[in-house]
Order: sequence, then structure tokens, then C-alpha cells
Amino acid sequence: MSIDLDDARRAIDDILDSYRDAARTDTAESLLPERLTTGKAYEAWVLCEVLERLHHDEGCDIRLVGSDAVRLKSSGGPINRSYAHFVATRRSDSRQFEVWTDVEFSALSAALEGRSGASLSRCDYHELDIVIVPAGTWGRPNPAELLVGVECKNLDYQKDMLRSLLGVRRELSFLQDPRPTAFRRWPRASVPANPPSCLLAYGTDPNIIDFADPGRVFGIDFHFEPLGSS
Amino acid sequence: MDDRDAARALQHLHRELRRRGLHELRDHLAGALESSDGGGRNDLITTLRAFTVDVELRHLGTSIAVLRRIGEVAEIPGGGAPSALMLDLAPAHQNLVGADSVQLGGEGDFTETLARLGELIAALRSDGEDPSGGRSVDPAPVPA
Repeated sequence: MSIDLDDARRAIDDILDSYRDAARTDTAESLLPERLTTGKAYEAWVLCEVLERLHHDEGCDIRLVGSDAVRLKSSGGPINRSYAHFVATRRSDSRQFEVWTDVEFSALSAALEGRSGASLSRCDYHELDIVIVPAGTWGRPNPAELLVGVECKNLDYQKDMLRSLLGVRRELSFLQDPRPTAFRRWPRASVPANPPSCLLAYGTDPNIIDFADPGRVFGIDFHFEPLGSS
Repeated sequence: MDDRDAARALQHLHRELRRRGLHELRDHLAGALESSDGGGRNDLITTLRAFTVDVELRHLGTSIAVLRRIGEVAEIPGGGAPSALMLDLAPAHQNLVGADSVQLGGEGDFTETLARLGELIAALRSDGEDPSGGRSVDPAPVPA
């Protein structure tokens, strides 16, 4: 099929016309910054992937607790146990994990200097989009409690995002010979990190895979995860 | 379509976005070009892909798919799929919208827009294929 400039211009006009016709501007959602709402929608999409992997690959039964709706937060914070979250129970050994969104973990550097709880300053904790922790964890998980951290990027993947993720890995664990994780298969059975947390990056940009090399050294897994609802 | 005409088509897209007041979207799409391999056709395809992702994330169908997928693997209070996909707001955002939370995916049904975007991207890809059977100028997406 061949397309010329006039065809392309007409197609673009049709696309923008249909976009205008479909977009509702009278909703509360439309008042929020678009980057916030689209970022959260992608976080929800990746949450599906995390739950499906836990269910199918790790053999977990999963329950939504605290609400019959899936609830995300527009800003991160400590684990609030009254908030909606998922409980995953591994069928083989009944071990329980919890899946939370928008949670801050307390950094390794803070632990090394003896800061925790109320003595943490804002440079001592960092937000992750999705975390998996042992059941019953509260507050800001420390690096030993953080079993899985997930970052979601619906934007074009840039080098500063890699640098940020390498910084998160630095504040989660020391680089060490591979150690067993809390998981049998997914996300990893072992990771070159102590404490042995798994760190995952999901993105809509195929170029995210270009950043995988340093991840192989430090135990960060990069995944291209496009949307496909329609 | 050669690179020069594709660059003109891209200019048309940006001009139309500005004319229609879609400034945030225009800025976002301009930023997407940083990941393009360069050349008018690649730039246009990269921009249209970024547009597609943006629309999918605001599409009613995406939030419905999220709820369906979660309902398939998780036990939900009351049974079935979760009742909604909610975003609970920080105080600054609560003041902005006058509510504690909003439902994600309520901005519209963009099925037609997504179909048209898909058709245009496919036409551009097809148009750029090497008649000798070689590889397209535009690299195929990396499989998940």
C-alpha cells in the first residue's frame, strides 16, 4: 500500500477529529496533569502483569484486600495497612507476600548510618511504583523487606531513567555473588545483590531493552511491555 | 512516501495539534523524537507510536482490560472483577478537582482514534519496505 503526503495529512486530520470527538473534557480526571493520569494508567497495566506472573509462574493465589476497587495513589508514602492491596499466597509452601503500589522504601544508606522510622529525612527514602514485601510489613520497608521493586515508564526511555534506577539499586543492596531470592521462578530465583531484592523496569518504549546491559551486572530486569487493550 | 514528505506530514501534525490547543500532547510528542533513529519517516512513525501509547492510556478500553485481567487472577471481595480503577489524590490534586479520588479511564472511548492511528502507521511501514524484500527502514518493535 502506497501513501502520499496528501493521504497522510488527511489521515492525521481524521485522527485528530476522532480524538476530539472521543475526548471528554468534563471529567475530574481531565483536570489532572495528563502525565499523572497516563503514568498511573500504565502502572495499573504493569500491576496486571505482576499479578499474572505471581499467579501463573510463581503459583500464588491472589486476593484483593481492603476494597473491591483497585486503588492507586497520586503520591507515594509508607505502607498504610488500612489501604487496599493484594495478598499473594504461594500454594507450594503457603508463604504470603503483599503487593502494594506507590510505596516508599527506606534506603540502605540510612540503615548504615542508623536512621530509621521517625528519624528518616526525605533523602532517606525513595518511591517505587509497585513493591512486593513479606505479609505484615508496615511503614517504609527496609532493603531486607523489599522483595521486589517495580518501576513503570510510559514515556520514551531515556538515559536519566537508567541512572535513576541504578541509584535505586544502590540504595537497595550491595553487589554480591548471586544469592537466592524469595521466589522460585518469577521474577528471579537468584540475584547478584545482598539483600537479594529483585528490581524490574517496565516501559512502553521498545528502546528500554537497549539499557539492559548494566542491569545484567546489577540485577535489574528491563521489560518492554506495550499496551494492547483494543 | 519519502523522508521529505514524511517530515512535512509531521509538521502538519504539530501544526494541527497547536491549532486545536493540544499543547501538552504536542510537547509530549515532540519529546518522543529523542528516541527516534532519525529521518522524516522514522520521526513520523515514532511520533505516531507515542501518540498511540498516550491515547491507549486514556482509553476507556484500557481500564476495562485492567479490571478484567485482575479479575481473572485475583479473588475480589464480592466476586468477579474489581468494581473500578481509582486514583486517590494527594491534597494538592484534591483541591484541583474537588474530590478525594478520580476514576481512571473515564476520558473517553478512543477505539476509532486507535484504529486510525494503527492504519496510518501500518501504511507508513508498508510504504517504506524495500521492494527487494529487504528490511524495513523502520525497525519492528522488540517483542515483550
